[in-house]
Amino acid sequence: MKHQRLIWLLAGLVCWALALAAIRQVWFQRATDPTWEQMRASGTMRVCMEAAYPPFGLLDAAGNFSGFDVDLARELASRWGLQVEFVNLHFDGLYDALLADKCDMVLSALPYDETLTEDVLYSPSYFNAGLLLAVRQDERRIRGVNQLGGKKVGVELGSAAELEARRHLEQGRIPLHIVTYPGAIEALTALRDGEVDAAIADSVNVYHFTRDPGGIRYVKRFLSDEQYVIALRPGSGYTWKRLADEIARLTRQGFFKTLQARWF
Amino acid sequence: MDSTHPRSGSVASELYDLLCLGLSRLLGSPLLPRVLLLLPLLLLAGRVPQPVVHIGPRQTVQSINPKMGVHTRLTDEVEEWKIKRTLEMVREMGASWIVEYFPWGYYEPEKGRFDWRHPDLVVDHAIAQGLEVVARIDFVPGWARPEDTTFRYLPEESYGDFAGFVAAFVQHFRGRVRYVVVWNEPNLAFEWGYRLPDPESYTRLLQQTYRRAKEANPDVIVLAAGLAPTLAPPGSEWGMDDLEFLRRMYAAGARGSFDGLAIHAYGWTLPPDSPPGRDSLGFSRAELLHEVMVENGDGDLPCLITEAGWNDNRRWANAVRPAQRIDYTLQAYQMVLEDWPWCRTVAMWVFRYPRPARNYQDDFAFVTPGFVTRPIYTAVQAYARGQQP
Repeated sequence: MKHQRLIWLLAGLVCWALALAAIRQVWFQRATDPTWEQMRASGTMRVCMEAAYPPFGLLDAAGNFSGFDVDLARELASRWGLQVEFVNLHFDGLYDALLADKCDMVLSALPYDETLTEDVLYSPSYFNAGLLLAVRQDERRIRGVNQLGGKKVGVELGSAAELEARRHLEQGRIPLHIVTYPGAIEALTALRDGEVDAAIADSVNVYHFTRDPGGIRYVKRFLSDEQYVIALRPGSGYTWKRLADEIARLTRQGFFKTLQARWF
Repeated sequence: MDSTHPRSGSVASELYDLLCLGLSRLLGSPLLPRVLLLLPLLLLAGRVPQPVVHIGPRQTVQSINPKMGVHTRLTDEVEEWKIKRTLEMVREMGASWIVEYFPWGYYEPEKGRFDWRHPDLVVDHAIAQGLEVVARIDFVPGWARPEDTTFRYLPEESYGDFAGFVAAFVQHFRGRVRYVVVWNEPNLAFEWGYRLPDPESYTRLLQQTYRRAKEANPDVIVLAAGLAPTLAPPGSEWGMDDLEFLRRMYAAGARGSFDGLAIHAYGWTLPPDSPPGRDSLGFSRAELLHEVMVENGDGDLPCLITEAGWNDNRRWANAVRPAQRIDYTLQAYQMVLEDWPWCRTVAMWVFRYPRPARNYQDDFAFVTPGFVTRPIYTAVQAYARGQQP
């Protein structure tokens, strides 16, 4: 009888040990995350970037990296106690470089791509580069596209903004008048100067123009989304979790607003 | 009898009873007549509705510039209505020419067994829209090349097989396809099966193909391949300067083995009227290729620009702004019409992809995979209609 109890006790302990090991494996995926292990072992976080896309990534003649994404990478590395190393590549080579282990992550104004979610892990978005509706600072009647009927709307010729304006005109049946300009800045300048009643442009240009030279503001709701995310190799679950937590924390702490003020 | 029962109902009921009685006596079963009466309904219910796509009556392209063309990409377009819609939109834009890719490996999966169903669809719809088709032919089937080689690798011993396919193609499409392009960018290692580009070997391919194609269809116009515009230094493992490649083709005896030259003339970041230079790439580099033809006594042969254009991707180093792209494209169409009599058409890359490439390539397109027209389409259409921008 005593033997039987002992056997049951031992079997129970073994079961609990196995279950706890499995739980540990799931909860602390670090043990099976080569990206995190590699970064910790080398003390370096390698970031693939196209440093030719201002204001997100820039490389000066002396070989110094700067920009919104560069600051973000440095902040992440500093919080994780790592050095940061940038790998400068053309945009079209970023994913291949990541998958070929040339870097630990792609942080380069990278738009979320729903067709690649089985190939890479995407962090939550840290920036929306979608289209915004801009109006003059003193404009009070236009609160969204529904108030654009009969108004002149400036857009960059041939751009996504022109397509968006056409979509509202043709599909939304909002009788707006599209006025095209060679670039987004020209469209925003025309808005400030009173040539048009509103302008549609990407958020980067709108943020930049709102601050300098100013005279315009924008409707907060985006007309379209282009979410910038960070890409990791598959199997980097622990790094992804750390990254997602940091992005949430940085958002709460106003870090991205600071970056926006610095770079746009 | 219920007085409210309609009289016509009674007549129908009597007719039905009479029919069933007659049929059951005739067939010897009371159930069978009912089944027979319901049969047409059952047949109709069991029929799966099929989308119906008609080729339709022959259309005519309305354009002030008859040299306007586009490179379509219908090779991998499965649904017929999409093929038709794409070609309708080409016509509606005002382009009269299309260049299309016809992969040998798709249409001769086994030696001597041809499957023309898909290319027939593309060609017949193009003709119905009033479009002239230029067929680019390459892509080596597995049976015509060694194992572990790419579909761009054509061993010299298979040149006869390729020439045989082109002969079968021009025979099948006699009266429908007038132009064929023999291979694509053989001055690039990638397009030559990751071997060093070899203009002498390509010339032998061209010679064999030309002879077989002309035997099969003397009316066909055989074009030498469009060469990739490149400034690759001598001895580069990736490619050979296109001007040098063409000169060496002539030196190898290519003259007389093609009726015209296909040209690739991408503009990159330069406007179309930017002067051509041996050390720069741009749309007007086509003039230098034509000069090589003139130097070799082929100045009277036509050139067809089978790939050209500008890209307006925001992230690609070789792209321009969307407004510049529109401006340059219209300028290029007009330049070819007014200033390049030796050039028969200019086909801009690319009209529409069947699905998004999800990279800068998407920003060469005039129309999205979902048939949304991009502003360049509207601008080109307005130009073709003679409207002021």
